[in-house]
Amino acid sequence: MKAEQGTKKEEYLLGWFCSYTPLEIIRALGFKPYRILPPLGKAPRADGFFAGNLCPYVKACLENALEGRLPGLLGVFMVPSCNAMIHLSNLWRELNLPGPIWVVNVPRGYDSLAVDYFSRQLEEVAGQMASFYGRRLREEDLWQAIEEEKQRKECLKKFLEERAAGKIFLEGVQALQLLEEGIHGQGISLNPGEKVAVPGDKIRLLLVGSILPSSLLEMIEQAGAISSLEDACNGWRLLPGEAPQTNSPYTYLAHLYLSKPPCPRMVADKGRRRKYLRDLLSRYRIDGAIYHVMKFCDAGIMDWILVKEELEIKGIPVLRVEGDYTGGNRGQWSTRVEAFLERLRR
Amino acid sequence: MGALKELYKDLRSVLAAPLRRKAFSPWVINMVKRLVALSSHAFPWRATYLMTLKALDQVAKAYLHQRPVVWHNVFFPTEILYGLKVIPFAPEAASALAVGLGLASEAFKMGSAHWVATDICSFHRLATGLDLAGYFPAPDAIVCTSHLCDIAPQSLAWSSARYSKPFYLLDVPQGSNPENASYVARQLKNIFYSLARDLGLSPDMEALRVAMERSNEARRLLLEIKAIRRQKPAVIRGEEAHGFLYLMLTSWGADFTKEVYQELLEELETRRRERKWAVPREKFRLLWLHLRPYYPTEIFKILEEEGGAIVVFEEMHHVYWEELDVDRPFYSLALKVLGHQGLGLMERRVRTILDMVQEFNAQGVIHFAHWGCRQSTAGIRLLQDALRQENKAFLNLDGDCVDQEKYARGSVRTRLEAFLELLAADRILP
Repeated sequence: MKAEQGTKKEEYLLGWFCSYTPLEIIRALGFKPYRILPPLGKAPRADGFFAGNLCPYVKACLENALEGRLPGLLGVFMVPSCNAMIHLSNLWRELNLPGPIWVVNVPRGYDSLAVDYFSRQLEEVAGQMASFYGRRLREEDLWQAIEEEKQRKECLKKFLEERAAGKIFLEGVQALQLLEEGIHGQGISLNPGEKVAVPGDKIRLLLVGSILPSSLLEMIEQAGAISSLEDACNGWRLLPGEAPQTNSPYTYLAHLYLSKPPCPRMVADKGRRRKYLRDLLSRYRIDGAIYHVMKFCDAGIMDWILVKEELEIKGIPVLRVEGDYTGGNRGQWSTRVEAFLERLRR
Repeated sequence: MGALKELYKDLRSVLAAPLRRKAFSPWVINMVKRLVALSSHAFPWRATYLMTLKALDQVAKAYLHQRPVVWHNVFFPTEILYGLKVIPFAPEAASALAVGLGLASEAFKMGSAHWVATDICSFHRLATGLDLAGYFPAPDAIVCTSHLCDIAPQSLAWSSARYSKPFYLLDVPQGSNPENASYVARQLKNIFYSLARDLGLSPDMEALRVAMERSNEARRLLLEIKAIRRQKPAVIRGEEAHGFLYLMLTSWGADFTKEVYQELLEELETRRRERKWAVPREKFRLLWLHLRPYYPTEIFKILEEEGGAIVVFEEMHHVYWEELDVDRPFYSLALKVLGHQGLGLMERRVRTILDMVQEFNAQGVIHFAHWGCRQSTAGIRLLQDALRQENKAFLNLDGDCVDQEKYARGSVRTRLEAFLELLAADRILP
């Protein structure tokens, strides 16, 4: 299969899942990244292909694809970040879902060996994609995409940091929506009148999880608190890390992504995740935290223990809730969230 | 089997008080070793008896801390550890043993009290609980691979934090190619030298060479064992052969591994010569995927004794790597790690299993869907479809290897009997 030349670039969509996906490469090739975030709901067809006790987000992704609800994708970019994603990529291939599938192995730590390996992986996959789609990928194009993405993400980062500092009063759902749009190329701009500080008596929460459901954030805010910081794969984990100056755009990207806010799968160096959390907790006022654990997510289940330990050191109360990506947890959550907030108010 | 149960009962009795006090003195350990040594009659195979003695010896050394103790997951290439002459300790393997000693219930409760969720693999849930309860020898370092099992590195990383000991992850990418092999090899080299430094040992390349040579010898013997097991009818039942998976998962590079395999090979050859078959009448031959319950069940009784359906081979005994090149230790170990059939595309695993089915002339395959094992269980539909196309019977048997509370006796019997009927009818559902 070859992409047709001559049509508008922005129509060429390439699907992606994981926050470690190098969007710069996708953009430099002239594609528009499309984040695959299926709607909440049951996954009856996917259940026929997967074991019962598997990540519900992954099942929803498969369900979405089987139902034909994806837009016209010219391929998908997959990071084999866990067994669930690995099995998704296997089935995606077997079931002839929109492809081809571009896989890049992302190291689970950040050191010189990992950077070296990851940069080679990125260069290899970029070359393969360019060849397959009949595109030319010059280093200048990639550097340009890197610079544009950097500016976009810096803007997002500033916005999120000001929000976490209480300088911008914006509900969690709206913030995540803006973040998602920002990642996909839309700029963020707030009118001066919208830049209102968070009232001092509002309870400010840290939310942690993989994909945070908007229903949880809505519930928190309906109960009178605010989610001011979201350490999640649809939150702060989309922000960039830092990269030293280097001649190779691939090495630059390797540093950038491996140094970004770490997700629980970065198990080679949990010290880095602890340090990241401690830094957040000391920089921002956090009155309490809610950890949303996706059912059957091994990384999340163990990360909860680490996050709880760090929060206890700081004396910050935390509530653990479980999610199954069906949207049916509101009833279970509402009582517990309200009781938790009541405790914080005391 | 009755004598083995008696041995376990005696062991529990001897160990009851020391286990409660977490006091594993040399006296207690020698008592246990003596008890096992005097119970050779309890073991249906001399090789099992030998393996138990050797394993006990190693465990004793770990508890007595005679050398640095390094925890590892069951997929880590232990040649590295034997090459450093440390004492390897595999919490997952220990958790299987703990089931027989009656410690599981207490350990599960301990794990739950520390937020170890029931959604994860029970081996790791149990291992974590046992550690929290104080049953494990403290590690001096911990090593783990990232491949196949997501929970192992997470739980072992947490253990390393609790003990404030170094944690080394072998980050294993998907796919076996020179680039990935080079990445894994460089990490293995780093781990070898870093462990030596952290544990105050001299990195002895000659010792690593010896460990790898032992591994190669053991590998050759295992292939000979496989060749005998291919022959009809079987001389060893699946339930008995399963016990040797302990070596497969913990002991590559140890001096005793080849001794045990040599013993097993000789016994198999003898029994074949003497026509001492595994069961009076072998009706069906089965391949077993994953592990089995480590508490008493009727599974193998129903299959092998009642049904004449012999588990002739286990996927976990598959030798998936080439002989190691002792002149390129880290690179060849990297190729070994990357060679596992469960890594990468599912079609690789499917192909391997189909080949085994053909090689062993198996009529059916049973996959024990151990709770929480996503690497083996999640993609089983693809395997099921492939086996159907080859007209092979397949049973996905839900269960738990170490949590006896999850064993539904009636339901398991029903499913196994239905599977046996399917085999008998030689009829595969469309």
